[in-house]
Amino acid sequence: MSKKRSLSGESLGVNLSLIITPMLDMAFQLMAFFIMTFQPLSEEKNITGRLLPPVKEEQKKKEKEKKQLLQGKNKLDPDNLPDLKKKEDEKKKEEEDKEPDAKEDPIPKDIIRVIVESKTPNETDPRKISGDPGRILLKVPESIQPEVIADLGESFETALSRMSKTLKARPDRDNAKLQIEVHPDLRYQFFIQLQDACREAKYKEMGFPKPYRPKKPG
Amino acid sequence: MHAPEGGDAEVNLTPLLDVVLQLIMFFLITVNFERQDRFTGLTLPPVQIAVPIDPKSRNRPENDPDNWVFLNLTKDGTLVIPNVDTLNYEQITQDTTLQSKLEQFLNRTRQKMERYAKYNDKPLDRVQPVIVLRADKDVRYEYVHNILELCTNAGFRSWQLRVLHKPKG
Repeated sequence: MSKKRSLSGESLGVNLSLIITPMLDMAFQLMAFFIMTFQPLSEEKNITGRLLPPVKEEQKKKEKEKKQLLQGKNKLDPDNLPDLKKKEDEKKKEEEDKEPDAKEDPIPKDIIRVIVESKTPNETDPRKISGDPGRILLKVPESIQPEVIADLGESFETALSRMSKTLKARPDRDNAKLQIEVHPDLRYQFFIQLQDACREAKYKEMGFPKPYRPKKPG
Repeated sequence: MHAPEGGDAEVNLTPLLDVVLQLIMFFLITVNFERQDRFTGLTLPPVQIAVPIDPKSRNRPENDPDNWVFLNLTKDGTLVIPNVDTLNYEQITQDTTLQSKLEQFLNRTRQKMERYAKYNDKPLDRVQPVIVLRADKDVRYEYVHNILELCTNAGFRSWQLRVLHKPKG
């Protein structure tokens, strides 16, 4: 390497004996590769939850407890076996003979239900797209019929904010259980927004039962 | 100042090289080749209230990344899972084989986690698998519920739904 100097004495740089053009080319090639393949990761956040044990496990536990009780009773008094069986059969008959209205509601009465319908492709209106939300209904324990919070023509965001206000205004917010029932065709993003609105209302317990398909009339 | 003789302009390449090398170093450090567990062929739904994944609370088993089991659900309901042994994705459609294949995958993943914990002298009670479900925003809710139900039946009851954060306003 030698330094060149101009007549005025200023340094004009270093006269390299190395040819750095290919090296620069490779450096730019590498840079172009990494710029093209650079993909910033979108920040993901999460909603946590925990599901109840499956129904089969609960049924098995109950059956085990029953058997243990029966075995325990049988050990103490083996002569009463046929009496116990008779009592169980009598109870079953009583339940079967009950009128439908008198039977216990499978859904406990202290649960607040948020029901969201969905627009299905079978309907004649071309504006209705499968998976979009339809009506939003709210069933509270003190009323018999669910109340319509939002109808078909309203935007989902407006409906959610109205529902959130209604839920926040309830006095039993800290203790009440919320159950979100959603049409199976509803798109996931609407379900997440719905859950978001319910969390904003600060309900501690939320349940998600299996989606149902309402029967067509007629 | 005098113009150099012969009209030759000499460019000082040193700062240019410095900047180029700095850029290369930046991209080398930040490069992130495709992560096997996060399938990129789907769009997560935007949500306002969602908890960021706090790296400081890794003491809790549900926040330990070693306990996460990633399941990706595409728009048409296809479940995309990373293969336990290879680096490829497996795609499972919503049919009668879904339950058996998913259970098989979950059990093998749990076994792998337990082996990893033993190898790293980690107590086995810290191995608490958490299902991390990344579902496309347009997938039907029925498919999402089906997957969570199958995971519950297989004994995996803790879950996280991954979403994109949407700021308020």
